[in-house]
Amino acid sequence: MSAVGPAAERVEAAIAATERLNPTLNAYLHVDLEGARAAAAEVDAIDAARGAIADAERRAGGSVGPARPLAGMPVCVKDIVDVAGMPTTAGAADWVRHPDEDATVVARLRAAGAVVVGKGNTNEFACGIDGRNPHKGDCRNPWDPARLSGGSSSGPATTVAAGMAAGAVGSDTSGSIRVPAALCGVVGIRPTRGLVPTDGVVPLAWSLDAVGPLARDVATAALLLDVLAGRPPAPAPRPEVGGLRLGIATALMDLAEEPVLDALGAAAAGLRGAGAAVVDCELPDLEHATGIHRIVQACEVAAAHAPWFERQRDRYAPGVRARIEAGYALSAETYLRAQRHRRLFTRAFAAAMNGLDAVLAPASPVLAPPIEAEEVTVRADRRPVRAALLSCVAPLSQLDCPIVTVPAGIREGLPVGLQLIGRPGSEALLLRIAAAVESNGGPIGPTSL
Amino acid sequence: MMPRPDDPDALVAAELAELEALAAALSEGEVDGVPPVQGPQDWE
Repeated sequence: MSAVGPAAERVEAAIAATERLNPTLNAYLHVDLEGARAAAAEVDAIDAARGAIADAERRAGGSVGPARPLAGMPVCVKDIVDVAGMPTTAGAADWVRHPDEDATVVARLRAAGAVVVGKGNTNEFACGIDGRNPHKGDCRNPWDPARLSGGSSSGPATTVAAGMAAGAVGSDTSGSIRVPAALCGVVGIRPTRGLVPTDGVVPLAWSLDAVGPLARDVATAALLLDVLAGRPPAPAPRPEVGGLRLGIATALMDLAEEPVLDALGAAAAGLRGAGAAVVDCELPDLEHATGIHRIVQACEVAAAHAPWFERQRDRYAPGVRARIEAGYALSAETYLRAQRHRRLFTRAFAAAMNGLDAVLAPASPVLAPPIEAEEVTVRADRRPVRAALLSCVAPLSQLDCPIVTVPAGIREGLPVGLQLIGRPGSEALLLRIAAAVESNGGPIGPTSL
Repeated sequence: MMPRPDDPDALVAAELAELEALAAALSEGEVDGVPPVQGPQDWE
């Protein structure tokens, strides 16, 4: 019997978890287990050859380059992102493409040694925040399969939380990395817009879409971000926050239920204990910002779907069709007026951050709702699930800045996620803060399913 | 009144009515002379 290498061991563990849990969680829409095994064997063979060369080089007084940063890491790719040899269905009914080439982000993952296990579930065309999918089946929360996973990057968050992948690629237009990361208890990064390429990704709204990583801990998420961005990996973020000044977004805290507030309060106390100043912070009008965001997204999603809208019209779920079709009725003037207001909002937000290094906010105002729930109670009011889950993320999505979601604890047996919002290009700083939050409680996965 | 979830035309009409109300709240005067958003550089 031949020896099993470390990449094969990691990939076999993810495959075993997938075979055991995917029938319940429906987190992968497509898997290529034999392809993953073959890729892992190739990674091990390359590493073994590198080891032999390195030994010879060392004996000769030289050296070989560093090992590939993601060698043998099993990954899940959201099913709006092209992976050569796998179908891209976007979670839609009767819509599929068969790419010959990887999206740039997938090519970068593979070049770094990652192994693609499969394509992760998503709301139809990434158009949703709850992880439900009437065509492919709902993705279920790995902490409690009777609850929502959040979406639209539902499969990426769930596979990572359940050990079916060690890392994942998702996308975030209105909160689609941050909300499932929060509800599933993993780290998710919406990068500065433009840092990670979006080619080979089915668009939702061009000026809002961001592709980013999800992982169980901050160090892995940071490493994945560097690979996705095509830059050399930086050292793992250190939990150093001494001297930082952090603002708590009181307007968003006021939207959250008590278990979320309790966990975020504990996280803020931990940051104070680690030497950061944590102060209240007043943000510009977030309700106004949500309106801007909805108009921009409606116009852009209508344009993105124009090539296939008529053909697809009767296949969309009614609510998704309504959100796309309504966009066709808005004028170019309305779209541009919203984009001009967006610029004013961005300036106002930047001004609100004067004297602050980052802003803290809940990623979701509630714990993961029951999967059949249409409404949830938030601060004694009944609200549609969609509106509630979007409330803390959508208004921030148009800022073009990085936002990290990090687990801030467990309440009532379910994870709570904290958003860290920073200036464009400040991912490294946000990941230091995230590492400090994590060091208070440690990574909270995998789930015990 | 909420439209029936299985009536696509009513859902489109309801969504459009919401968007038009949101658009009406975005005043023209407030953005007089302001160009559309550019991206991360708008923070500078």
